[in-house]
Amino acid sequence: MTDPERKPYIPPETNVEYVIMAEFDNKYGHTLKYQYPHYIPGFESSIEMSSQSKNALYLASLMMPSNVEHNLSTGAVDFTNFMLYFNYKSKCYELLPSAANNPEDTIFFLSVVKAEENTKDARGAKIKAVAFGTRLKCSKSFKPIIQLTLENLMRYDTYGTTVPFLIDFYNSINSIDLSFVKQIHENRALQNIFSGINSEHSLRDVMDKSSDKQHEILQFLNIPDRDKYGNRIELIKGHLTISYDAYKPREPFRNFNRRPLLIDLIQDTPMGITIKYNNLVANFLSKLIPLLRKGDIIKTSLKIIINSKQLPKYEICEFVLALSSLMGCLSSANIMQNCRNERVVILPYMEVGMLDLIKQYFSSMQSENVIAIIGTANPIFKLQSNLWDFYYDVDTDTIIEFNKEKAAGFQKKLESLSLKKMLNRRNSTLSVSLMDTHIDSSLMTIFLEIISLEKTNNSTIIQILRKINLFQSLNRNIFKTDIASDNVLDEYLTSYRDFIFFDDLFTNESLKVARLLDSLSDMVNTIFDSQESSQIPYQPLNGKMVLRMNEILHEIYEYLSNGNSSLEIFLSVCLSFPLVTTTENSMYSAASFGNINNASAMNNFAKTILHNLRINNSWVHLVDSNIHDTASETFAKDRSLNLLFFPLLLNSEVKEKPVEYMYSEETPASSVNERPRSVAFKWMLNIANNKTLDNSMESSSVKSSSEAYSISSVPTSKLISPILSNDSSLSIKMDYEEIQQLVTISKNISFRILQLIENHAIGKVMLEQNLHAYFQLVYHCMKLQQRNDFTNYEIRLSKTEHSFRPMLHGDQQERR
Amino acid sequence: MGNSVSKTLGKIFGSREMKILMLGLDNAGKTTILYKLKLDQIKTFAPTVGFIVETVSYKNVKFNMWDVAGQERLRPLWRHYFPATTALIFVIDSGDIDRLNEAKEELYSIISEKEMENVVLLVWANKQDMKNAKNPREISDFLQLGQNLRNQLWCVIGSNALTGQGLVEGLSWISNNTKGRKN
Repeated sequence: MTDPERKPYIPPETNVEYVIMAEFDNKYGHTLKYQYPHYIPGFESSIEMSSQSKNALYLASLMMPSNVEHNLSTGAVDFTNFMLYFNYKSKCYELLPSAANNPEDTIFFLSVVKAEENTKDARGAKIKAVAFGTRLKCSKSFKPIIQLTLENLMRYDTYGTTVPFLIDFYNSINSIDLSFVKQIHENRALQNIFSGINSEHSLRDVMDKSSDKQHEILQFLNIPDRDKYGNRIELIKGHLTISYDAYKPREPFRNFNRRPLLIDLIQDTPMGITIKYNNLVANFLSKLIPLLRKGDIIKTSLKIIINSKQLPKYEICEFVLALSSLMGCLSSANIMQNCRNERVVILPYMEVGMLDLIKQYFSSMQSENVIAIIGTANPIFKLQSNLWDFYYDVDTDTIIEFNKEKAAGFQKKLESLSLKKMLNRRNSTLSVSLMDTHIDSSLMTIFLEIISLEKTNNSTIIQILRKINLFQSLNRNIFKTDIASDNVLDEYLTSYRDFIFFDDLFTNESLKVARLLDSLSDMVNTIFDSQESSQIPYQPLNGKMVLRMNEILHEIYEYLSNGNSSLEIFLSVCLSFPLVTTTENSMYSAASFGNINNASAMNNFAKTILHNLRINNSWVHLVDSNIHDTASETFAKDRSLNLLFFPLLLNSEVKEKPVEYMYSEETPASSVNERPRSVAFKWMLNIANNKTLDNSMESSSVKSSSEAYSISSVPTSKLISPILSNDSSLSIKMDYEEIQQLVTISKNISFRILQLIENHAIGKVMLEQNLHAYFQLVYHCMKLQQRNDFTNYEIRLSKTEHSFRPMLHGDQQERR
Repeated sequence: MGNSVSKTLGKIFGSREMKILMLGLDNAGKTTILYKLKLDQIKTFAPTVGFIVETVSYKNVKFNMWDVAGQERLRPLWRHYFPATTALIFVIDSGDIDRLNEAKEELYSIISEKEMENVVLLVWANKQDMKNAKNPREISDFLQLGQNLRNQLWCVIGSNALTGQGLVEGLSWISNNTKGRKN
């Protein structure tokens, strides 16, 4: 199909691959009328109303969903989504995935539909829809222009007047270079960081043309002022605005692309979903998961139908996409399909016209595991019970489970398949019984209930769910088993069966980072355990501890030195690091899970956890003891970056009279000068207990370079400070000198790690926003010191580090 | 219509609920009938895209009425709505003489399906206000239901969705002839 009147314009990009238009014909019904730039292979259609292929009809029915005529009075448009999968054998696109699909060849379609009164029409109305297909993850950005296209062509009926609109839409979108946007959107780790920061702070204020960091961020993200075709680009509140300068449509379409394209750089949901996860998705999952976890369920597949008559169709689609994303099905192509041998079918919206197609598909899949999540607005699907295992009516908030006995009659057992294992766990390499997993398994459900009751943003919800993933994995020691990452995910799912997972957390790299953070957390808790309830106010620092900390920090530093990609994965895992770690896992069980059905109970739950952290002297309590506005915020808050700062607080210069300081609670304030330059945890605790940084600064003085991170006027009573000790329990015997050197190295590595993070444009923002005020001060002072005394400091540290290098690389026997 | 009264009656005498499938060619007046029964209002409707399902209460019976689009390419989809149907209402535009045969063919195509052999059939000979409209007896004769449906309850009632003529009578006939049926 070509524009008959114009010299053909060859678009330089293929951001949008197809534009199609459908119309509801009074006599025939759904009709796919036009396709541009050519027919979609497998969906050829005729301009003749009376002649339509089945596939063309399917597309038209997906584009013009049931009840769209009800919007006639309001004039509102609605949207639907569908995917087309390329079959490399038949060289055609298909509506349902098969073994002959390549995930990269899947095209995502967004369709807009409108019903409009029309006095010239025999039935008094016109119903039309336009859809576009793209492989980009920013289809939401094209919504305004596709809507404008449709609203314009509602007035026109002929080929000559309609098709130019489709061409102008196609050419406009494809006249922009979006390759850098694609890179940003496809960088999972970076998107996790964006989402993580944005859940607590407004990253959008930083990612704005008014921000002093604008240039740094644009440079880091490789975003030019103009794209390669000369289109102007601006950064506004986390969005890119791109003007259509390179392509000018003719009259009467002149205003068509006057408004610039607006692309959100922060994608905390797949495909730019706008629905609130808590209202629908979390509520649904909190009801579904207990059903899925029933031990006696015998299924070889999981088919879910989501139905709503009341929701706009775009909300049904977004519900399905959000659910699919949380259940690992959107990246499914890779994870569920390739690794887990499960066929994943996601139909954001389905019409009754596709019933035969889907029935035939399911019957052909009897020998395979199928995970299907299907959205619809037609309650007739409830009667098609062979299509679903769970039918959810959104409008009445009820889930119906398919009759199990009946199911068992026609569904064959496939023992080897992973979903089967997940649903009906028999054998696993981890010996975890259902009874054992009671507390852990219900954790996700409890949090989903919390989420569904609170008005929490999607970023926060995602952070909480990611933290549960990581907590449960660490808690089960799954990461410490020597199994491939694919199997780790499998083990996780079979252990917990809560069906919500983020596959990026289960890669080898993420697992490594999580393990390192967990170890560091353990170590920090051990070293800085003040044991207020015991007779000894602080834990003597021993060589074994410092050595282990050194090893961990070295490993982290080495990993981060691999480049930005490693750094981003690290930060992404940091943001997903749970509030409670493996050594503190009893806190969740200690906190009452029962009756969390209102805001007060939720806050009590959060308070109980924080209280337990306080009495256990967890480092978490030191950096954040506040009860946040909601329980969700308490659990979503990132505290992990602070972990990297604790080594800076090690007291490396205590040599004399360690025993005396161990019992120094009653030391008079006047003796401050006799006290070694220690870091006062109590002082930090005061900050943690809502004292402002300014107030704290009044009582502190930043000293000259060598004492830069000493606080001279801190009251000495109840000092809680780690001090050096040559405790007899050490497995590695070291003298003070050696331990001191190790401490210095730890501090140095820790400082370098922070510098690496700060050198990353977004890492810098994260440090500024997620770091405890006290650590900000410490870090600032250390940087000042570096500037003032850089040369001497480096020489001293490198010498010290050099002397310990053999030991840090595993030659511990030699030390013994 | 009379929803509150029927609710009260339902409470006293016990209520029934049944699935009614309303089919017919495009522009027969199905949706107009549905909303006349449901809201006692006449609305100008665009063609139905897909289906409409509404609950209409009459006396102690709750009719879950499924109005399915009748465009040519959508008629093959009617069969998906057959399961669990108690009564079929087939709406005919009595004034559209040219398409009466088409309507007859579609009707027989439905009732010949196994899933529909036990449903009661009500034909609303709609648009009786039209000048050239055939009356219910003429429609009945044309459809030859007496000759062809010996084991099935059927009835043809003249209707005018704009005034509501024949609508209550139709529901009443269904209600009276489905007592004791399991839905």
